Amino acid sequence: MITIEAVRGFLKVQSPGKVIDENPVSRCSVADSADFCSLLPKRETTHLARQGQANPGEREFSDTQVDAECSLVVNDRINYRNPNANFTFVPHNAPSLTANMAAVLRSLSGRCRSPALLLLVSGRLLSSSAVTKPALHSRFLLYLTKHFYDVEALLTWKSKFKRRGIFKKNVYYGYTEKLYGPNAAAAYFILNLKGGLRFRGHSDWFRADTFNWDFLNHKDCPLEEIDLSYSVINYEGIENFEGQKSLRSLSLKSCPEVDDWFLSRLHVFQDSLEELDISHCPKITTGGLAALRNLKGLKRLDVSSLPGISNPGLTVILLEEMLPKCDVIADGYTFDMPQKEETQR
Amino acid sequence: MCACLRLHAGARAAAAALSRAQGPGLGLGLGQGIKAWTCLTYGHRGLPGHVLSHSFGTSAVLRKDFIKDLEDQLNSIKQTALDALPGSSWTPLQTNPNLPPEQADIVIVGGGVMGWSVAYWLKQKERQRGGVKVVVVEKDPTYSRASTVLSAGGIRQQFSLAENILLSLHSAHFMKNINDHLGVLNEEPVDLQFNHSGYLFLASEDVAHIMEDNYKTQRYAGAKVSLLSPTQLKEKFPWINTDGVVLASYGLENEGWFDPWTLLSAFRRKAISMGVIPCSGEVTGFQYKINTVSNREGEQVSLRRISSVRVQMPNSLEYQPVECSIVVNAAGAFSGKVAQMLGIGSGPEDSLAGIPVPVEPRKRYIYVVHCPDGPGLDTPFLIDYSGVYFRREGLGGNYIAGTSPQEDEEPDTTDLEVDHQFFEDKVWPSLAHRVPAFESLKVTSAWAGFYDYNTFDQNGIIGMHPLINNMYFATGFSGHGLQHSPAVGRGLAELIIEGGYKTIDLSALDFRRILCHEPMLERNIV
Repeated sequence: MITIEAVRGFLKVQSPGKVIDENPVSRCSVADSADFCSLLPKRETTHLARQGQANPGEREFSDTQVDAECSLVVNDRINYRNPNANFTFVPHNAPSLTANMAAVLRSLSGRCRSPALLLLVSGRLLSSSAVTKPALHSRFLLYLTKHFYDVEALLTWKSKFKRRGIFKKNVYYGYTEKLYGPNAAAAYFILNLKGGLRFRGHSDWFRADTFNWDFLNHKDCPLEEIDLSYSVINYEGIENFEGQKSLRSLSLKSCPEVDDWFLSRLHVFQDSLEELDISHCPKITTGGLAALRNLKGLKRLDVSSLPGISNPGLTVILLEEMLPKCDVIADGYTFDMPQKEETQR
Repeated sequence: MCACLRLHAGARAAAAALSRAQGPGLGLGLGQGIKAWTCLTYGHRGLPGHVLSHSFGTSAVLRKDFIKDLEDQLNSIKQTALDALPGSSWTPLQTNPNLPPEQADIVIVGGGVMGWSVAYWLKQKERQRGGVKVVVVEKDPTYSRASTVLSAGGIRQQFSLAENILLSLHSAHFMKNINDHLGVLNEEPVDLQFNHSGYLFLASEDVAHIMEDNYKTQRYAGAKVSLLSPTQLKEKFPWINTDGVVLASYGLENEGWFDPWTLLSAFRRKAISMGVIPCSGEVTGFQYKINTVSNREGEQVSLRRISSVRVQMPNSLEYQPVECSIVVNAAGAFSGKVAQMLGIGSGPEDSLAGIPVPVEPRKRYIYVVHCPDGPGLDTPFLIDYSGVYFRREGLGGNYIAGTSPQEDEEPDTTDLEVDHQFFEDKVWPSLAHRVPAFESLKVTSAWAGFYDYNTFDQNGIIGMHPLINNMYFATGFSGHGLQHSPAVGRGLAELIIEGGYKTIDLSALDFRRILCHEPMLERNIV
């Protein structure tokens, strides 16, 4: 039995003995139809004001008292005829999580007969603003996708082609390496991704907007600084410059495909890397920052404005502890304390 | 709509509401409806114009209620009318909608991460849409005793068997691109919360040579592991007490831990979106045909072929025999029991049928401890040579620790109660010895889970049983099923659909080694 406890406005989800998540958090998605009779608070029923039911399957709770305890009977039969139904568990106009706890559950695919509830807990941070409805054209597209296989197939192809495009950009330049050597191949790869690079022993940067073939003159110089900001470099692309043993500085500002696995592969540069800039990368989370443990020689690390990390203050402190010689730069975060409940009451 | 028509509709609605048990039908309760209408309009006093109500007044409020009532009933009758139309899924014979289908191609016994992984890969590898009909049967939809969700969730490539290393490596690659594999259109992307912190194995003098051999195997298979001397260890992790440690093996990449529930849900969601049918029920028996053949020595061997699986509904005597052509046993800790239902293990002692499937549940404890001065963000999943392990949990100074008990001190497996004395006696001393900061820790919580322990050699059993022509096994992983699940699922799907292993050759992990008594021991079991 998975219990969701609302304790002082924080949602604590636990299964027997194990605390899954204990934060002002737990975006709970409940997939499929809402036979909501099983989701009633154990006590304090009066505190939950059930507003009128718009359609069967839509129920809204707004809670003024936060110490009700709800036990969700996890009865897991997803109605497989409606695989795309999903629910989101969001607070009802809650800029402050402490005051209101509400569940808006909506069946997206019409009538669902079987009383089936499955609780999927994702550890995502709950955004403190109410969910805004997506734009009209995307809602229309969603409607079409749910009712027509063709639309669904077309949209799947669209995302597949996009992924294939990124894959092609990060492919291994084996032919170039065979003809011109690893340094020139790495330089060509970086320039193709519209990045910039600097060879060791030279002070001039080679950039994609002022592209010329002069980098072929430096076939024997290893790379010292690489700037791949705003590019689509991903895990596969590292193979192109993995052999650069004297890489000193790597800048990956605002790269959309740089994620935790990318960071874990950076251990190949653990002896030489001194500066790393991974600010504004949306896919990086705290687990990936733990992967930077191998880069003991790092002197400057920029982790500003990472939307994926949940506790930026604590994470930065732990990072500083983990890399003692490193200067950690972390701008773009608002280190607020959560509001105390006393002020709300 | 004028008022009289509305009243007619209301009457019919009332009739339909009255005769709901007999099913919808517009013409059905008309006689009753007229009776109800007269009831409605004549009230309890029999006078026309009075509404059927408990009060004696005819105030405006009551009249509004009456009309709203009628509107509600009109809506419900619209509903029942729509249900009766063709294209809706209403049938007059109301059967239990939770029963599995009467026929399926492949029935997977067990809805843990292994079962759902096999289901996903079967659907991924079917050559045409709807090629195989797969049903996954899980007896506990709350997963309260399932090994998957109670697992510590680690993944490592530091094994001694090449197959295990490759399985973990391929599973890590799968998880790297998990949204390409398990992403569903218009659903949220999968976030495994993978912590890339690596595993750290410590070796004392007597096992250091084993560690070096393992290191060679691991590097040959492609795992990124490094060996550390005690001084290097102390430099990297100043909080470790390197007393008694001669060699350490540290994973650099593709190692760490993640959330097992998310992986299970992702597999499940994607498999269901591809058409796998989930079913909540317990497999209580099989129906099979026996074909007796004689082998080279002239002995009679009886081969069984499963014709249907008997699935019993939870808390009920109702069951459904599912006719199927292939059964996959992914029941985890209870796979031995499932195999027992087919008679494996109950033959004469010296025959093949007398060798049972050597998988049984073993209880393991995990303790959540809190230590504010403990190691920080770079804490790996540390496994000491004494068998004690711990890893970081979250950012607040919490850690998860445990150890495997000795063979003769195995705890009782009837329930999942935690023995806290075990922590004090067996886990804490070694923890405190290895990490001095853990001398002052506090146990905040604990849980217990089952290993699907392979008593033969603690490695997985993947493949067919020679005596049962259509049952495949994917069980017995003894604590590392979760980290191998994507790759094992793929291997088993290749075996079933394509007839042989295509990516990793797992034929060394099949039943032959058990029946020939040739154990393939893993020298790195925690």
